[in-house]
Amino acid sequence: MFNLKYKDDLYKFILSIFVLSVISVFLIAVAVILFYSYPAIIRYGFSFLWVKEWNPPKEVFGALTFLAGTFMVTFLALLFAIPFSFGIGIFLQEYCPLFLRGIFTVIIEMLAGIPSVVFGVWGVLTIVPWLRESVEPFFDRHFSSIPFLKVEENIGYGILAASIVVAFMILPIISSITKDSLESVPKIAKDGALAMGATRLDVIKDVSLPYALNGIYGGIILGFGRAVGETIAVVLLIGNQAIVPKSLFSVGYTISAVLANTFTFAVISPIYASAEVELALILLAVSLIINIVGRNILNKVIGGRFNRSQFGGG
Amino acid sequence: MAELANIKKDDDPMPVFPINRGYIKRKKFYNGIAVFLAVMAFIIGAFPVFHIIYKAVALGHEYLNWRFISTLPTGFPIGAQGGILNAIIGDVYLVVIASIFAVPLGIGSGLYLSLFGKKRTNTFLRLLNELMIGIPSVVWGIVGFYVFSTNAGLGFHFGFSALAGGLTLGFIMTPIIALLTEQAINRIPSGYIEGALAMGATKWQATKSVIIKAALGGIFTGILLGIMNIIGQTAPLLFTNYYNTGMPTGITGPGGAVGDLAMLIFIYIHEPSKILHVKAEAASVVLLCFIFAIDLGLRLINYLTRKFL
Amino acid sequence: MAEQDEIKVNVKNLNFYYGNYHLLKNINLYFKKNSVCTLLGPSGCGKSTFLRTLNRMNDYTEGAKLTGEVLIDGKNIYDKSVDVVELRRNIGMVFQSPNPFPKSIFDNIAFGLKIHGIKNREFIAERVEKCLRYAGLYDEVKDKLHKSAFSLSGGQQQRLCIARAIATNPSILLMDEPTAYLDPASASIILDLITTFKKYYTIIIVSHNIQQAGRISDYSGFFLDGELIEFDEAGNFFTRPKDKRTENFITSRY
Repeated sequence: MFNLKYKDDLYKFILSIFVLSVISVFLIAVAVILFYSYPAIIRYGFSFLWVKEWNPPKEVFGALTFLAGTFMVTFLALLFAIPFSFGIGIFLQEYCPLFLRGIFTVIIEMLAGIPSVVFGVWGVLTIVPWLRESVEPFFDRHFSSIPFLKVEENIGYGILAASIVVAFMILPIISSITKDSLESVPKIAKDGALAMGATRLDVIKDVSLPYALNGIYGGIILGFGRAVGETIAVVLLIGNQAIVPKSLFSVGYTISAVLANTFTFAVISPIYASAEVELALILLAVSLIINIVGRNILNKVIGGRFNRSQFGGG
Repeated sequence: MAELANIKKDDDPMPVFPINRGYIKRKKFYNGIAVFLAVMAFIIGAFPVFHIIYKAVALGHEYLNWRFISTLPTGFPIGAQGGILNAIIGDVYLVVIASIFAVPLGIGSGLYLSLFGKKRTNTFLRLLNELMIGIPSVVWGIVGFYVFSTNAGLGFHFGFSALAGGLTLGFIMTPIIALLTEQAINRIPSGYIEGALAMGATKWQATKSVIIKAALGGIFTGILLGIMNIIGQTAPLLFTNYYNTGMPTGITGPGGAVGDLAMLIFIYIHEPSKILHVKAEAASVVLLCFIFAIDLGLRLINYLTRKFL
Repeated sequence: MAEQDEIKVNVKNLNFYYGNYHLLKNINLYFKKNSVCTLLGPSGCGKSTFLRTLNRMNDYTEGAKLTGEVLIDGKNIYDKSVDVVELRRNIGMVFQSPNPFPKSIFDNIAFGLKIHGIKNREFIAERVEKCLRYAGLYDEVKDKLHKSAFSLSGGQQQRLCIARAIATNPSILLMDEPTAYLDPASASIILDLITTFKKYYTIIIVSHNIQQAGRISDYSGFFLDGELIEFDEAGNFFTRPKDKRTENFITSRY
């Protein structure tokens, strides 16, 4: 008897080492970022967030340009992705014939599996030429008086190209969560409306969406988290120039793109490296907050069911 | 009864209202528009899947042969001649190293949660795993750099190497496996495990005889999803492994870096060389083939688990 | 055979298939105007499926196929010229468990009016009150009409669903085990309601509770494995069933 108990204690002990290792991976990540960003936080304080200049030789570091670029790409990507995700979720759950739903869902999940770098290459070879040859000349001809739509350099690269591709990358996250949320609406509630003579649209508007809305918010929040941290596709498309973008067609820079492009050079100077790690700290903090909020909502609505579209291809 | 009294008082029938056919017709029209918009959303959303594959194959098809896969890159700029063997071998290194780290950790912690965990520990660890999945991969790259690669200060000082890159990818893979293992075990009908325990089995015996068998499909799903995720990763490798055009001579220090498909594509597309762009697309096809093959394996496992368990 | 103009719903040679399953086998029966009819049978016998064929709710079930006719007021509802929206306006439906919409009590009832194009607020307010009074719910909820319908008790929610079902002037009410999930007191209120509703509506109820069915029915039918075994006036049905299987079903539960 003693022997049995002893064995299980040993088993528990070994497994708890694994658990502690997982926890320590998280703690190490947070600790490393905090530790190495500390010098920059002390030296630059909050001015780091609103100073525009990023000048490593002069040791002047302000992240405003990159924050603006990140914000614009994220915001535009969500703006593009939300209506489409919404439509896809509604299509798959409410309108799609049953025998096609499986295969169509697989297609959207395949989108989630495509690696970031492949998206980036596709953007460079497809979206950029399309913007350069069709979209930008069109806007240049007709909307050049509107500052936000002004085409400064007709090169195709820039905020818009990055936003479009990131929008496609977060599409599967939001649409699969929209679909799951709609799926969790009790069938009997929908039947009640249909039996009164409601159309499918009435049912979606008045029954399904009120039930599913919280879950959809959760999906949007997770999509936001993914868009903020998206790196490789953005590096390839945004144009990588440290200016605050004023137009949809401007080039720009995001936090993640700066890190990808310059971190390896930055480590030569401790304060430069520290400033870059502080950029990573911003990404880390945003992602943690976003995920705590988003997961909380989702756990309530769809019971924390994990959808595979939520892991991207990096 | 009070209710009955109320009903009897209201004996007058309800006034009939006319059928508003125009309104109903309009509503059906709106419903039709909604269907149209939903279908369009799906078509536009699904478009890149097909166009990405089409474009990659259309551009890279001339290199889609055995030689491309089985030779190292040569020529100038490097890669102009030869293939992508360095990247495929490198991916194997990285996946193996990441799995050696992440698989035991992920499965172990998943087992702990379902066998010994209390409700609050479980909620906490679950959230922790979800948060780790949410951390952007470029941030993991920086963490990996300071933990494994850097040659100054604290850390393992592995240099830019397969070991540093693989372990960083292992960080990314661990929470995925942990979450899916836990989910798979939670899905086992509770009677199974409790039955085994009630018969006097230790938890270790229950794990061996019941849990592993019943949750195997879910655990494999976790591992494959993890691999699928990390072979597409580029950002974490930028600061931990970077790239090697040849074969690694070790897994740490100088000569320890390996090639990687995602990294190769990233580097080739940066070069102002038409031929390298074409090769990047050909390499994309190879990478997508790996990913969709894993995806297919996943679905097969899911199907078999559902059918036989 | 009853007089033609007394018949509200007439089902002729109805067959219903789902995939390879033959769920309803050649059903023939009719429901008289302003009567209460209960359909009994073990679960899975097709009685709920039958109920859903009467307002074409099975339209949305993929792989379903139907042959035969369902005549309501002499018109086949499966005819191509029939508009489902109009059809369903004429047929109220109440479900097993209360299923109010995620809206206020008021809006739950107003929903049926709005989807049929009524915009006149006074008319809607008047109608909401009237429906609630019909369902014997008005006094209980008159002070919280704009609170969520989920704040009501189960029995109240079910009566709200009944009030909702009658808002669109139906002449037929279909009820799928309306008391299945209610406590006996709430169930009793609903049964009383059904009895008083007889003078306005033709009521068809699917039930698993023989005692309740006996209390309210004018007619009763017994389903087994998709077949209608017996259909008769309640008096005969419950006391002198013609078929052995009906008798077994009734006696084993009494």
